[in-house]
Amino acid sequence: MNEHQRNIIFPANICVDADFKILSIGPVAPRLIHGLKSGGYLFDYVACGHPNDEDYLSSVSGSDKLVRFEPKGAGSAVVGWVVPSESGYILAVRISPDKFFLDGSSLQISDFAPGDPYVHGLLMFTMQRAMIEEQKALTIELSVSRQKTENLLSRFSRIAGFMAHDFNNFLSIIRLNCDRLANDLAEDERLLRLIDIIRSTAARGSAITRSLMTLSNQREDTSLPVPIDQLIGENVAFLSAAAGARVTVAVDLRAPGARVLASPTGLLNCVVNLLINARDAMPSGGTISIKTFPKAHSATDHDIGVADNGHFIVLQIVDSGTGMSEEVLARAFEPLFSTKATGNGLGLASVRDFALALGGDARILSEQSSGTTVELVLPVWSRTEDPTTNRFSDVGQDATGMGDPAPVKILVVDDEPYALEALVELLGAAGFEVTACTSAKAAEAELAVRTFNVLLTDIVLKNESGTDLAKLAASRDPDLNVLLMSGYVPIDDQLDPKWSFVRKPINTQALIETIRSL
Amino acid sequence: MYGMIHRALRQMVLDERGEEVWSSIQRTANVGLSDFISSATYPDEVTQRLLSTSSEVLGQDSGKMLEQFGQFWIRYAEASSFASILAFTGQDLVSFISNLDRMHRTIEDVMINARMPSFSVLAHDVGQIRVEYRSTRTGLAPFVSGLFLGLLERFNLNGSVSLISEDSKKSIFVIHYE
Repeated sequence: MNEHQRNIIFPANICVDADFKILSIGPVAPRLIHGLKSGGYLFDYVACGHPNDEDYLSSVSGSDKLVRFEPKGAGSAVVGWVVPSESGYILAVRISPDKFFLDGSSLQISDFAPGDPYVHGLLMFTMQRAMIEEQKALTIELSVSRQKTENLLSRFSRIAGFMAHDFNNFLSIIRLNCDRLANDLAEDERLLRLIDIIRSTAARGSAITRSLMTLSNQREDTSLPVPIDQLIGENVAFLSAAAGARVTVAVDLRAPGARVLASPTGLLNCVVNLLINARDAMPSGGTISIKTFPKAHSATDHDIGVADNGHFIVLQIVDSGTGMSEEVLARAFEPLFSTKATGNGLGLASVRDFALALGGDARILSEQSSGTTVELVLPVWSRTEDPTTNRFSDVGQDATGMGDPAPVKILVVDDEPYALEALVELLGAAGFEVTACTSAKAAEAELAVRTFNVLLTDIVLKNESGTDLAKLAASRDPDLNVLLMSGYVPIDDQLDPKWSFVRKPINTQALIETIRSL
Repeated sequence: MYGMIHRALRQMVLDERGEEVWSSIQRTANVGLSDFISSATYPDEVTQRLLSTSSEVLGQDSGKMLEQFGQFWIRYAEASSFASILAFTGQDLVSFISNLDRMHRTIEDVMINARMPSFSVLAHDVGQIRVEYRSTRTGLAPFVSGLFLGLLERFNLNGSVSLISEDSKKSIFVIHYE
């Protein structure tokens, strides 16, 4: 092996004579053992850790014994064999890194022989560490980016919500004024038809604003006293669409006026879940019946909570499908249990959870080949009324001319003058005595000097809160009936359970009925 | 190509033209955050799209932009988690270029789908290095020129880079430096 070959294969080699005087060194040797140069004495620069390094090196020369040379000054340890040569010895050494980390090291690939596996190992370890660092940076970047996106979405949501709310107020004004016009034009069929078109178009617009408000995270799930027959009756087309074309949905509603304190959306979701199950049980089509009827609490209803008034409403979804086996029936409400290939097993479980949360329950009656009936038994909502102070419903009837002459006094608060004007006229025409205010401040002044039976106030007022006004009014007069109105669905915990809520655009007839029922 | 290239391009645009310009490039090139994972390899088509969109939006000749990007790439790698690998590859211009292939082989071992180029120092005299560049990709000679300019900068050398021959398999560069 000539010097050129030696320098490539062992770039840190050192050639010494028999007295260990350095004759020549490889190109990398001075980088690893600082100060090393030809002509010097080897053991001035390195040590092997033996009492007599000279004797030790001579003894291992020509053997396969690996020798480690530690630098006496600055530098790195080298490891290799001692090979006898004509002029003395060749130390065929190479760097021996203590660790596979490059951080802070001055090493470079050229310090190693071309095929030295250490190079690959060092690169691999360093690459892995670098990639972990990059991954950490990426994780932070993703998290920052997600935060930015969330902030942006939230800003858009808020703007969309505000716009939808304001637009809904305009629709409410249109709707209310349509009702005023209709009162004046009761004889003119053609104009009434036109009013109806405007009214229904406003209602469609309102549905869009509601979707926008849902998208902008406005609440849709506030619990309200829901007239269950009315809810189902108004959504028959939607429910039929959910059931699919091959199924006929028959409706038999026998609980008129009965209300359940629930989220209307949640209730509809339950019905849709049950309809889908029923539809899937009838692959060849058929009829699904949606039935409601009242039911009093009985001794056998030990698994159902007790409603305030002991009354329940039963909502049944009846199909004529394949029915359930006993085994399936026993597990039907079990979360994650499903007989469908693509089912997630949450539909029936969530329906039952919903019913239980309302103080009711869900049951299934089914036999194989005989169809299935799922029934929700839900407590009927009613206000706790003190018969001695129940003047209000009497007064309401009065307003319709059915007895007591004292009219219901309503304080209406809305910062939209057109809406206020329409409400005053429509409620006045229904026999109520109406006082109008365009701000909470003005309403407070009225409340200070007069007594009202009902406070009907918009929740969102210019720089004021209808809810705060209601709290103040109710604290001054515990008998006052509070009826809030808004395009937003208010948050439950901001409301007194005794208060009622109507959603804008206001259906005048429904509003009048609500006031009379208070 | 691998995601680190995408990240470097993004950084270059951000440094020089700001966030708005980068957002515009990102939208036009139809890429998202998932196209910027350092350790992932992406189809060349994505990288090409990013490069051509950048050159369009920046209003720069694509060759000039590639050269600028090559130069930036060295600065970017120096400042990244891979800095110690760069230092290990070589502490002078000749060693660095001579050892690039060994470094690239390791990257190929780590990132299975990565296709790395090859660099050979054909000759070197004082003040001049002749380098052969081979790649299965075409059209990246300006990028390689930029890389060499970046290396001159890294080793505090003044100099220039000339492409003296190019065919479908290889390109020969001469790097002059003081």
